[in-house]
Amino acid sequence: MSIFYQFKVEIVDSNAPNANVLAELGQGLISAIPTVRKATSNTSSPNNPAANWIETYIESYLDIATIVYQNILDANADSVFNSYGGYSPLAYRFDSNVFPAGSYLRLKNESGYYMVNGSPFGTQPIVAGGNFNAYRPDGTLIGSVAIYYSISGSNANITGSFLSVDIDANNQVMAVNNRINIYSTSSATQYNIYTITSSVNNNTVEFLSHLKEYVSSFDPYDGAGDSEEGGGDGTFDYSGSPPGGFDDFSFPTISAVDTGFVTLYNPTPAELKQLSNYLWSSSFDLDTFKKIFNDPMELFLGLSIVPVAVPDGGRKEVGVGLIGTEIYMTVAASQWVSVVCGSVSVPKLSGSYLDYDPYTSVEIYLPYIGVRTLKADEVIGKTLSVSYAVDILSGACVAWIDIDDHVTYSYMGQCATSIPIVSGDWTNLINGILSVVGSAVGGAVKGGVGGAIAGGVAAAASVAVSDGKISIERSGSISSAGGLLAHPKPFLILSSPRLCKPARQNEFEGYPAYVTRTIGDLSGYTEIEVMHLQGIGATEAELTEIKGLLLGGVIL
Amino acid sequence: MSFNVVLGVNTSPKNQMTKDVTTVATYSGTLKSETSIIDPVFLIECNLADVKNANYITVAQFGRSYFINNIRSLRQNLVAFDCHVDVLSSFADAIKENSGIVKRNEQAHNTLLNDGFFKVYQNPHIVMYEFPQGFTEHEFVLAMAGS
Repeated sequence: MSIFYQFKVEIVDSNAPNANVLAELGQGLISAIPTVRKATSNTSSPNNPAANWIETYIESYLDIATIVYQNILDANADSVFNSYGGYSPLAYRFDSNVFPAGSYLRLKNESGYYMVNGSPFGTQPIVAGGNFNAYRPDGTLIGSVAIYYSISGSNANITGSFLSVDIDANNQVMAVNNRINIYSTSSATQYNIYTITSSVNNNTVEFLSHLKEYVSSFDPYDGAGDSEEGGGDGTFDYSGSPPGGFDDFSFPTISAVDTGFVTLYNPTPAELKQLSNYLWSSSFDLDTFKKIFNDPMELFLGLSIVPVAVPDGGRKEVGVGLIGTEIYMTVAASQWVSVVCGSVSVPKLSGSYLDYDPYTSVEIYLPYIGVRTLKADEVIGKTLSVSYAVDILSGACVAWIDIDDHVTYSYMGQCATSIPIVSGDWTNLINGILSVVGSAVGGAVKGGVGGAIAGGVAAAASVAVSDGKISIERSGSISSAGGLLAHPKPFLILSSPRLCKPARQNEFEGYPAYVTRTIGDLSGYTEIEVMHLQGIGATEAELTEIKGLLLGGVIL
Repeated sequence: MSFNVVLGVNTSPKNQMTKDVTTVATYSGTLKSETSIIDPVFLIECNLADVKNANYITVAQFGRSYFINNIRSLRQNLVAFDCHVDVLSSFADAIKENSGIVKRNEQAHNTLLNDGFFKVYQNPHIVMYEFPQGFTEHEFVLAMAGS
């Protein structure tokens, strides 16, 4: 970090420095590199203990001599710069009425404040000295630092300054002391020290802020995605807009039966036998039928067993093409049927964090679908309702799982068992069953350690809860023919940790609280997470012991 | 300087703020030179046999109570009590006025907070809940072309 002070170098009449600028010699820039260091002795700040004294060291360099030399190099100048002889000829010129007697060098900053406004020490060499005023950004004076500039010696000039900051035991700034060292950089011999206690007390932060105006940053990542403050603007409104449940669901208003191309009958076994007998009897005029269809079986789109009550659409004669059969069957009023399986309220079992994921696992068996996993976080303490939407034409079914009347899960299955009425149907049925069995066997045991445990805080308990457990697939896909032979009602399977709680555990180690309370309002075993003791007339050691006891656990 | 020293028997846990103390005797005692208010050594002229069961001292003049760490007989009828201040009891009233974030408590708690202090057996509870209705009807559906 560097600090820059920009100013003009002028020769002025000391009797009227603001009105009579004899020469503007040029502009300069003092660059300074401040470092903060801890003092090892208090010799330079005798009023302050060494342990509490730090100083900010600002090393500054300015070649004022060069500026002066270059700008007053006129016809009267009879010398040139040399690194050994320095600027004594310049001083000579200065002293020989190039400028009037009493003229001196001053530095003026860009805000118009005189950085050097003291009287000249002499005429040879040119020395200017005075107070350096430190200002706040609004222009008000913070304090002043005595600083002198000289043009003498081979390297010369402004050499350095110290700003020492007194701090107390709590690192609170008490005062700023400004100590100016002026010495020849060629010999590094300090020949003059000014130690001036400034008027700045307890506001060094302001002083430093002022200096920061001049800070030039060399951070190569400056502005490249600097971090920002943020957050804390949440609404804490967790109501959301959840979807409705199955009660809000409406079946499609159109179905296959509305097309006229398909008729769904709901025959009794006796009626099916009647139809079968008819087709294989002499009453069935095959020749007439073949004028319309190649194969009589093209009429039959499918025969299946569905696990639902088919809605009654009235009685109707079964027509085989244009041929009446005089066999009457009930027709389905709709392609869509709902099956409501009712509700189950899932209680909180231990009433603790163990009731939730990953400690408690929840699965649900759904007829014609199989076993599916639910999140305990969504289920515990809630009411689950299961309903099915069934398509009796295709046998497709969708199970709706509503949690507190909001659909949260839905799974699709197949609930119709096809009955072969031609050889092709039989082949399809067998292939379908084999496919289902293969799927079930292949996914029967997933194996491995249950790995759904989150890390971090939960890790300790999670070891006891699930370590070494393997995950078992309870069933494969249960659908079509297989589903007909499986359990007909949904059910939940909860695996809940079996709590091992010693008697009176709360008396010995309490239970987690994490609430803010006044100690006097509490009773029994208590551990404090954090507190700031106050108003206790005890020694520091006693306060430390009190805090340690409260954090470790006390009985109130 | 002498002051009143109340010797007692404390039956409460060390970390209990309000101690259950039975007074044994009250003596006039002095402080051993170069002692501290936190770990003082009290000198009391008494018979060791009379105070051998004492484990607690209250000195009202100091505004503090002390645990007795050791009892030493210096000579006949002069007993030294090595003590350590009981900060909880001594400053109980002021401590109770302070507030803080309570990590654990016997009465005020929320067991939904996970801090891993519960232990569980390896064999979990398996609980099943059957829904009241299901697929109890079975019917034929015959789909035929045409209306």
